[in-house]
Order: sequence, then structure tokens, then C-alpha cells
Amino acid sequence: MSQPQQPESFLAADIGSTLTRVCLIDRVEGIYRLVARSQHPTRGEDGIDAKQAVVGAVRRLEEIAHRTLLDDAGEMISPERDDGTGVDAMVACSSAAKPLRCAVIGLTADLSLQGAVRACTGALAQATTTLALGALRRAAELAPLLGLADSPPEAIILSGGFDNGPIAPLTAGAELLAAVLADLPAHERPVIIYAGNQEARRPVARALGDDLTLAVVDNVRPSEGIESPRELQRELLRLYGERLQLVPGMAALQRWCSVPVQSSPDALALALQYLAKRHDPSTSLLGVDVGGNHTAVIGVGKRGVNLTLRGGLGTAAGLDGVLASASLDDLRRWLPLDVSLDTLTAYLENARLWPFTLPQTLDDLLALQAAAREALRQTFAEWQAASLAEPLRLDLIAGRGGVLSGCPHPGLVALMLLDGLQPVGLAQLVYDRDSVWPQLGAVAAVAPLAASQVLNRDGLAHLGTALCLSGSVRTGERALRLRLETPGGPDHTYEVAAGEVRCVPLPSDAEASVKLWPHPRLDVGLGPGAPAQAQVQGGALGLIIDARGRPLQVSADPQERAAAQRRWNNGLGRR
Amino acid sequence: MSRSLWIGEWTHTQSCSRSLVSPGEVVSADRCVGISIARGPLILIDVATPLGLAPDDVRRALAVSVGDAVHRDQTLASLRRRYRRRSVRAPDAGLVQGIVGGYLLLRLPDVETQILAGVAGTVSDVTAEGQVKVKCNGTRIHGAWGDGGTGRGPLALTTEGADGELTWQKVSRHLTGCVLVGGWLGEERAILRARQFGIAGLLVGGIAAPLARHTGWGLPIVATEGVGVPHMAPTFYRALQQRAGCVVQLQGGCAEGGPMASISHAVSQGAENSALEVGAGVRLTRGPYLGYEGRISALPEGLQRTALGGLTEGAQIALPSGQRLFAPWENLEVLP
Repeated sequence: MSQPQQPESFLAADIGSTLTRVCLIDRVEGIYRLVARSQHPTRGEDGIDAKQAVVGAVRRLEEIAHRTLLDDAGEMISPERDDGTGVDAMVACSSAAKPLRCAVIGLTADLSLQGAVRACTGALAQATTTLALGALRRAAELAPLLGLADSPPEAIILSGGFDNGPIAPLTAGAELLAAVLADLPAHERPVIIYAGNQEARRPVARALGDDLTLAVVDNVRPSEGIESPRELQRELLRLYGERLQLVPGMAALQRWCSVPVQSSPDALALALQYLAKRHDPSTSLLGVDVGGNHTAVIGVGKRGVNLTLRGGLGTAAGLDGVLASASLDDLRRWLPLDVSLDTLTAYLENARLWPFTLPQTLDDLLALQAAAREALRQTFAEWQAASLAEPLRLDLIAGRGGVLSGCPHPGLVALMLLDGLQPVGLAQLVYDRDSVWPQLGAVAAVAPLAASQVLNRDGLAHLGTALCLSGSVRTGERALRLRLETPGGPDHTYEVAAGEVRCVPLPSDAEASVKLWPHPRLDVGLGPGAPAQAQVQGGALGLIIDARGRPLQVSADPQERAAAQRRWNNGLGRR
Repeated sequence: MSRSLWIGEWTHTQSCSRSLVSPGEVVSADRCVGISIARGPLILIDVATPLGLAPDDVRRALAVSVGDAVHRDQTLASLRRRYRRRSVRAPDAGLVQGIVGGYLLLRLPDVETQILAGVAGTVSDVTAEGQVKVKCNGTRIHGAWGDGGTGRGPLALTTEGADGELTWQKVSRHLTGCVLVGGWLGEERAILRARQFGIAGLLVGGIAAPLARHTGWGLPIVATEGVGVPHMAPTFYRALQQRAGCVVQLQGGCAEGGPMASISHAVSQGAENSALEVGAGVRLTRGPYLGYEGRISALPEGLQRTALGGLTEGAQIALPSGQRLFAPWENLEVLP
């Protein structure tokens, strides 16, 4: 497919596990703009077909944009013709392949095993089995190892031992593994990734034999206090990329694309890096993506990109994972209504059973948002555990996912982010209202300028700047006094009571200076009671003041709790 | 727009390891079309501990080697200690897969299962991967919620209408082997009794939340609408009513393809699903109208504001009660 030097128009697709989203980007008065977007279920009646899903979404896009993009045979018209039909280039990213199923075998549960499991969460892999060989003494304890032969994962990570440490336990483990996997048919055999004591590379390779595919990477725990997951993560991502190509219809779709189809989390990470640079090179950004079947937390800071992805945890098919990992009471604490556990079960189960449908009542919507908070909370906790050295300063929080973009009120979006992440200090809140960030990340691979211009002009919904206090004082006491000074405007002074969330109007394009005097036991980021001054940017909600304290306390009494949640909703403009 | 109720021709696929039919063959629903071979379990036998040996010393006591087929109670390893001979015997017949670290790995024999066609029709294809595709005519219902494996039996309607509860009193011994149809399932006792009486499966509109929270009920259960819904969509119920007594293949949540009910029967022309237009019958697939049916009364152009304040495309629906509402496309299914 021949292409002009400088593509003027793009189609960008994100093939998710539930929905496929496509957007059309074109130059308008010399600047790249988002022209239209559409979506289509990824799964048809005969199962997933990536190309068919994209064709379905593009057909819808043609109706919306009044522009022909596909020919009569359903093939993409490229490059763009003089009559305006077709586009110059297409790019795509996908998360339609499930995370890689991995078994992690280490020597000890606390060191090598944990390091390798953490590496998995940052590399689109899910540790479905973990086994510490050092703890196994009896045949019964080895049962999980036998399970690898009955239901083989896609990869087995063998880790353990510091470099220059003992070799024998690792070779014994490798021998056992080779024996267990000996009679698996070739197409079912998992790839073995060795990420242990580097001295044991050759003996382990010998013990595994020639029938198993072995990839050797750096030791994830070369010595006490040092964790080195990067090379293991690179190998896992390479395997995920191979798996993505096996999604039905993906090879056919690939022929339309200018560059290889990326994984959606990778594309999203790239878009978030653009977003961070847009503000200030030193900005510390936290991106969160609550999808139908997975939840991701991506940190972008001085140390690079740090991703934690939880497969099977989301707001459609992933509700199964939410219900398995959180109790109904955990979810109910986020609801401004006193619903029975059966009603809550029905809301969530039906949302899971009908993943393409949209909530039609407020109760249904709030139940789904409660599940999103829980998915966020759990994934963020894992991200924090994995980002041991990462400072926890969050300048910019960027949220996306169907539950956020489909939310009819920005106040509810802000509350989901504040409740799920519980940030402290000042943080700007933005979200992907049009569900285009991963597509823009994919566009960035071929046209960085186009990605950057669309992100700046059309891809960001500014919620405002959140000011969150940590610590705890009695509800109703004065938590904060602040003076807002806008250039050329009058100054305003506000007082906020502990336990409240409220917003102070400040338009999206406005900046203001705030002076803060917190309660002696509350902290805005400079220490308890320390006054502060900062520049803040506005948004749909303006300046959001969260004086509920950290960690966030939710009453055990159902009526009190529901009343507080209603107050918080009202505080952000949702009545 | 998905379609959960299909009346017409479709292809039913069964996966097996070895097929026993060829394309063009006419098969009945209970015809065995293939064999599924599941590998036998792998078991680990501790040889070192009973013989009182260190793992590295086990080899000198072994009576078998890797690759040997052994029968039940065959001596795997033995050792004479003072005046007693100690031995380790095979707990079952199998193949020695490996001997490592003082353990012997024994693979038990493969388990073969017969795969039935499930529907009456004509074999249209047998793939190299072992999929047998049967083209058939009839009624197929994709369920929303399901549990259990596969069951087959004549359809027996137990409730007066689409909103009747399938109570335990309606599960009786003379229905053994049948698939029971009801509006909704609300009590555990009905399921326990169905299992006790050998009922082949339960096909309902909704299932109560406390029952849906558990799985592994021991028989196939399919709910066409979802959880907490006290009825089955009337068109679905009528379609089943018309086929009372016909054999239905019911597959629960654990089966490939998800919860489904398939009934083979001749289909007259014109039973195809209708097009998306004003007057078309639709089923609503999200609360608070989950499982309700209505007709499209208008197709408004462009984005519409929903009751929650969001913007989406959809249709105006008139319910039989006279109520009119707007529903997003995502929440609608066209009915036949």
C-alpha cells in the first residue's frame, strides 16, 4: 500500500476485549483534529474477529462523518483520494488478547517469587500459579506443579537464587519441570523463561532438555535489595505481541496498518508520556484505565513508565474478578443509597452478563462505579507495591475507560478517581471523555505531531485541580481556609469543613493562585498544619477540595454512609 | 445488535479429538459424532521416603524405567532392609513419565468420552482440528446466565406463563429426564429437588441473586434474561411453549459457547429475525426493563439525551403497557 510522505488523514483503531473503537483524524485549517469516532462490539455472533469489528466501527464512522472510507468489498481506501474518500494511513492497537497466563516458580516465596510476580503485572501477564520449590517437602505439596501438565500456561518463569548462589535447587526444579511437561504435545508446551541465578543458566538449560523452548533473561533478584525486572518484562511483552497476532482477524487487519499493531497498554503509555510532556518535563503523571476486562495503572515520571495491569478485573466481563476479590459490603460502601446485597448482585451480574449494554438508571450506574472504584483501588495498591522506588507525588491524574467516558456527569468521574486512588496534595484531573487515548498513542508511532495536536485540542477533558488533605479531624470542624486569587478578578476566601468534598468554580482555561491554611492536624503536602501557596488550573469542576482526610473513612452505618456519599456527590455538582 | 433467539438454520459445532462422521451424513441429536480424549491425570509417587532413601539414591531401588507401562499394584521400587523388603507399588495402571528427585511421575490412562451431535441435522464440515459442524434447523436460544454442563431431554413447561416461578412443588418425579421451563427460579429447594429427581436441566428467564452467587449446582441451568429478573421474555417463552415435548439440548455455563438451548425442528419460511425498523419487536437487555419486550415506535436521528443525562443513539420503544421510553441501541435486541 503506497503512502504519501506526510499523511494528512488517519484511521486509528483500538480493538478491546469488549468494544472496538475507531477514530478519524484529519487536518482542519492546517491542524490535525479529531473528526469523528465510533464503536462496535468486538465479538460477533461467531466470536471475536478483529477486522470485522473494525469494519463494523468504520461503517458507522462513515455514516457519522459522511465520508466513504471503505470500498464495496469492505477494504480500506488508501491513500485518500481527491474526492475526499479514504484515508492516508491506518494504525491500530489492541487488548483483545487476554493477558499471558504464566506460572511463576521460585525458590522462596518472599524474594524471587514476589519479584517475578510483580514483573508479570507490568508486562500484560498474569501469574496464575505460583510455586516456591524451597517450601515443598511432600508429594501433596507438589500438586500445583502437576497442574501445569493438565492445564499448561503459556509461559513458565523459573526464578530464584542470588547470582553466585547455590545451583543445585534450581537444577532440581528444572529437572522436575521437564519431567512434568515431558509428554505435552508440542503446541501446548509453554515457553520457559529463566530469570534466576545467572551461574545456573547452563545446568538449568541442560536439565530442561531440548524439547522445551527456553529464554534466558536477567535474574529478577540478582542480590538482596536489588530487583531487575526489565528484561523479564521485555520477554513477556514480546510473547504477548505474538499472542496478539493470533487473535482472529488480526493478521488481516495488520495488512491495512502502516505499522505493526501495538498492545493497547503500550499505546496508552505512549499517549500518557505525551500528556506528561505537554505539562512540564518534571510532571509526575498517574494514568488509570478501567476497561471491561482489565484495569491498568501507569505511572509516568522521571524514572520512566511503570505499568501494572490486572487482567480479569473491570466493569464488564471483569466484574467477575471484582466480585471474587471484594465483598459486596466493600462495594456497597461507595453507594449513596441503601441497597440490599441481592439488588447489588443483580446490578453487577447483569452488567457482566450483558457487557455491551449501558446503564439506564442512576442506581445501576452507581453500582458499576462502585465496582470501578474497587478495581482502581486494588490495582493502584499493586502498582504502589511494584513501584518501590517511585515517589508518590501525583501532579496529574489521567483517567480513562468505559465507566468514566460513559459517565454523564464530571463530578462522578472526579469522585471515582479520588475514591479509588485517594491522592494527597494538589493534582490536576483529566480524563479521556472520547475514548481516544490509546488510538492517539498508536498514531504517535507514525505521526507524533498529529497525536500531540489532537491530544491537546480534542483529546482532553479537564475536570480541574484536586486539593486533597491527609490526616483526620472530627467531621464538621474547619479543615481548610483558602484564598483564591484570579488575575484581574476579585479574591475569594473559602472555608471547608472536615468530611466534605466541594468545588470552587474556575473555568478550564483559567489559572489562579491559591493560599491554603489547613487545620493543624491536616496536611496539604507540606506537613500537618503547614500553610501553602500554589498555582492551580481550572476545569469543568474548577478547584476540587477533598477534605475527607486520608485514609478515607467510610461509616459502617448504612444510612450514615449513604447520606455522606450523597453529600459528596452533591458537593461535586451531581444532585 | 446481538440476537439471543434464533429460529431458522444455524451451524452447531462440537469439538472432539477424533470424529466418527463425514460431511454430508445426516445425524440425529443422540448420534455419537466423535470421541473426546482427555489425557489421564499425572500423579506423583514418593519413592524415597517409604524406602528410607535419599532422593539421589532412589535409582538403585527402581524396578521400572521412564517409558515403561505398569499395571496396578506392580512393584515400582523395592529395597531389602535388614530382615524386611520394603516396596512401592503402582496405585493404578499407567505410564512412567519421569523419575526425579526421589519421585516417580505416573501418567494414568487417557479418558475417552463420546460426543453426541446434540442437534439433528446434516454434517457440513469436519475440520482438521476435530470440530464437527452440523447444519440444522430449529430454535436456538443464547442464555445470559448459566451453570453446569450439558443435558438433554424433552421440554416440559412448568409454569402458566412467562412470569411464573418454577417452585419446588412443580418439580415432580414424573418429569425425570425432562428439561423444565419456567419464568424464573427463586428457591434453592427447586434446584435440589430437580437434581434429586434426575431432571435433565432447568431453563428459566431469571434466577434470584442468592442462587446466582453460587455455581456447581449439579445440573445444567440456563437463565435467558439474567439475575434478579422475575420473568422470561414473552417471545422466548412462546417459542418454547410451541416446542413443548421436543427434545432440547441444554448447555450450562461450563460448556463451550456459553449457556444455550437448542431444539431441532422444521422451520417454515419467513421465520427469520425482523429488520430494525419502526414496528419491529425488540427485547430490552438492561435494567430496569431487562427482559421486557416492546415495539420500535420511532427512530430518532442523531444523539439523544438519556434519562441519566448522557448522549447516545437509540430508538423510542412502546411497551405493551402503553409506556414509551428511549433505549440505547446497545440495550436492544431485535426479535423474530
